[in-house]
Amino acid sequence: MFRYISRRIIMMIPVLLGVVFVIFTILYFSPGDPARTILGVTATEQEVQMLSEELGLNDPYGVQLFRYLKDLLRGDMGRSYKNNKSVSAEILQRFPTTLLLATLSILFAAVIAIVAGIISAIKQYSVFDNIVTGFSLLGISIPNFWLGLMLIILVSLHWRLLPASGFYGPRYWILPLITNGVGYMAGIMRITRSSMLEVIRQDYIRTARAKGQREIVVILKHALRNAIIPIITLIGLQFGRALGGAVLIETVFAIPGLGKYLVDSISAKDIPVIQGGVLFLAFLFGVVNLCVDILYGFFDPRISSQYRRKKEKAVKMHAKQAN
Amino acid sequence: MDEKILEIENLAVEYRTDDGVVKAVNGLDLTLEKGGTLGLVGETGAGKTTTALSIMRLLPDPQGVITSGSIKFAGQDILSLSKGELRKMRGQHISMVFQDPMTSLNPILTVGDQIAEAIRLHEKISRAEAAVRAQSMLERVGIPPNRYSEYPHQFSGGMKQRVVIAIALACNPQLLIADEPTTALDVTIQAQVLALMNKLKNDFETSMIIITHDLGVVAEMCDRVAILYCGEIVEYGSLEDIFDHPEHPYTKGLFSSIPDLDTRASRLTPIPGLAPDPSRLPKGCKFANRCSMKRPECVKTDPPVVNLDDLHRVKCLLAQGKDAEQHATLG
Amino acid sequence: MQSKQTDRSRKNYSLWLSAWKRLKKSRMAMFGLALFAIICLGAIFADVIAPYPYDFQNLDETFQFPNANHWFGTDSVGRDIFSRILYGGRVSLQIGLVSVLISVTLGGSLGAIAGFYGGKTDNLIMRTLDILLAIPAILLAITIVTALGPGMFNLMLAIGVSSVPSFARIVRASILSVKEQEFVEAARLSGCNDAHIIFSHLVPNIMAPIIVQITLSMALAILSASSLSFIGLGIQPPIPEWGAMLSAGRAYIRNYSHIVLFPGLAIMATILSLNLLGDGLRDALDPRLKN
Repeated sequence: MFRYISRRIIMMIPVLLGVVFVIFTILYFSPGDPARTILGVTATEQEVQMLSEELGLNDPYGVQLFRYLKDLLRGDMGRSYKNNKSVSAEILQRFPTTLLLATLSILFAAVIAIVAGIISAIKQYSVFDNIVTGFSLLGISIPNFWLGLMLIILVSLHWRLLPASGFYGPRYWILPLITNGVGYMAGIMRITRSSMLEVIRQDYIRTARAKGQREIVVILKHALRNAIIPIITLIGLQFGRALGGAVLIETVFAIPGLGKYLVDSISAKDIPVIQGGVLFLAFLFGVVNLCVDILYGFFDPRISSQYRRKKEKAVKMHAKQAN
Repeated sequence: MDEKILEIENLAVEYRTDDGVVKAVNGLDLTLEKGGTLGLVGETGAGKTTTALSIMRLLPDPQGVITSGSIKFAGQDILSLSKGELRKMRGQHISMVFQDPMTSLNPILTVGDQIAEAIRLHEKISRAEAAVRAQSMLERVGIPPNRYSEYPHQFSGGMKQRVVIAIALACNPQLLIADEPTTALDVTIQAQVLALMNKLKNDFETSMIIITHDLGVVAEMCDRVAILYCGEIVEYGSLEDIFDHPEHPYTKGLFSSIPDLDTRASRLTPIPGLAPDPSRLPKGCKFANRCSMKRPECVKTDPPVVNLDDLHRVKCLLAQGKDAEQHATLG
Repeated sequence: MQSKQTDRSRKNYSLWLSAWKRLKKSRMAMFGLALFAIICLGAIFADVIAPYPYDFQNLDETFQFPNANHWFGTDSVGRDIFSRILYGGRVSLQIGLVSVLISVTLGGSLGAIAGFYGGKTDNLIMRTLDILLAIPAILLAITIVTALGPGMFNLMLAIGVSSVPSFARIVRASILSVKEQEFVEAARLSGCNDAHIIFSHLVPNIMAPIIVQITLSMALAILSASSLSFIGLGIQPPIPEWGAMLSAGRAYIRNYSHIVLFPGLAIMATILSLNLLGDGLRDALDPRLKN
């Protein structure tokens, strides 16, 4: 298992380097002169040139990329064109909010969805199953930023039950959580249902029943654990979507997180912020993917055993042949 | 030998699907004496597995429905048992070995845990004790006990089937149902598994039902044979009755469609045609459309069961008049 | 060979026919198809149906609630929301279609090459795409639009590129599953070149998953487009786009919630119709997967 995890971490490094390369390159070739952006239209050509030189913007692409990577390794993502603040510091200050919102939304969605999906699969074609299927169809199709607006209109403005913007405590979390959660819930329900339906038909489920096992144990111990891999995969993907979707949800609810920070800097073409924000969120996504991979290994012995030591494998092969 | 462990009377099972009702078992009568081994023989779709699943009460829910009949195990009516009583029965009194060992084991649990689980369900013992018992079970089926904590994917097909047998016999059941236990295995492994089952059956004094379409397996393992066709038993008798004096044209057909080393027939005679669609069964004899000895009346009336002697009975119009007395005088 | 070819095309034909028959049986899929058809017709014939031009401002009739003249009401500058939604459909459907075309072409060829040649080529392509997959799609799209600037084509490109990896994966997996079959070997032995094998032997056999993916991706593309427009990165006013309409209407939700109600419903209806259709197609094209 340790081998498996360390291998996964090592495999992550080239991907993350690739991500930096891709994002840096795309933004490097974006039109516009950063020095001009910083100084504004009133600055003279000479001032702009001087600043460009100072920031190293006249250096060749390769030099700039290398410098960015070097700084990144030290945790330095440059300074905002808009207010000259350190991008890393701003990101570190804001990301807990974004991560908290994403994590809570996913947890909230996953718990409800997995339970509902299981019941739906066991009671296929029942009324409950139909409700779950209908809900997941609608939930997948609702744009969450619109759902957020509708909830604000109804719950905050009309009924005056919950605050419409900000993120200052559990009361503020509820609407963003639901807004985010509905879509994720719908997806997880669907996959739980279909994955469980597939597993329930397997022969080993019949074996478990033939042993005289209780139905609830058959479902949770034998079926769910086998059905969980696609569910975890989807939850991992949705975590990525939640991190990206922060740009929408934080805009709707005026939440001071990383997403809002990103959106605010897009219109100002504040490249270091966009670059840093995207990279940081991609990095978080990478960590989530790593966790997902580790969970795979935990739930499915076939995956982690691929990485057992070769010697052990050889011994086993020998034993197998001897039998 | 006279004590009956299993009595099935007039069993009928249907599968209700979107595409219609499939009559899988139609009025099946069967008995098994304690310690006996019964071979249930028939083509795919003849209702062998459905019969087995009915005994275990493991028919797919909600599609599979037992519409009539009774199944008595050791005198107790299985069809009236509560869920809790069924759970007690399964694994402890009646066990089942399934057809495909590749898919019968849970891929994410160690084989040892899967055996121990069966034991702990029916006996109040600690985890550790169950593990010890499971290891000794592994040993009995010929697997080194140190492979307890390996996963199914680390085992070959034959080894997996041994594990499945170990699970089935873990609680020393009175009846073991083996559903085509060797079909999915290589021929050499088949022999090993059959020998193992025979040995264990004797050791544990288990009664056994073997479901198969392989007459070789029947010859090797069984003392009673039931030939199934379209959810009915068309012929039933001792091993000798069926192998040496088959009466039903279908049984005869089965024997002439397998190669015989002694006679080296230049050509096998397969049974022509296909079994009728089980959702639209004919009124008369269900085998009539494929029968080489068909008479006009065969398609009109459902043939009665004729008792040729105490044991041997056949469901065919041609056998009428060959009932017990005459058979005795003629024979 | 010739007769085999026709045999297969006849088999393919009956395959599609039976798939259509199964699709017709699914009420949900038919509902999705009908809804999608209505949305398409509304977009195509917007000129005829829409009671007002999309940019016609009537400052005397601002913030009107839905009424007989303005079925969906009017916005802050008195534009008819119903008309704008019809025209907005054009934009959304165009973006959906073109961006999916981009991802099918790019992703499909990359996936086909990777799956067909395997080995190092496969590794190189798939590892590169892993990098794109490591970036949440909307962030990749934001980055691309930031670099290229807003505008319809840039938006299509950004969305198209961000779903290249998922297409590549599906095509690659499907190619791998049919590549080893005998008819491919037969074609190779009869001297067909690689391109011919890929396009006339492999591609027709993997159409089913691709069609399903196209339908579902279009839903996703339309959602992404409206999301990006919502945060100001997509279609710029005055061109009506559903997400942009929501964004513009946000300021007035306190008193005039109808301004954001209808564009959202339009997005939802479109996505729902495509999802229903996609699910139905999946069941119809691959009956083994049906529960």
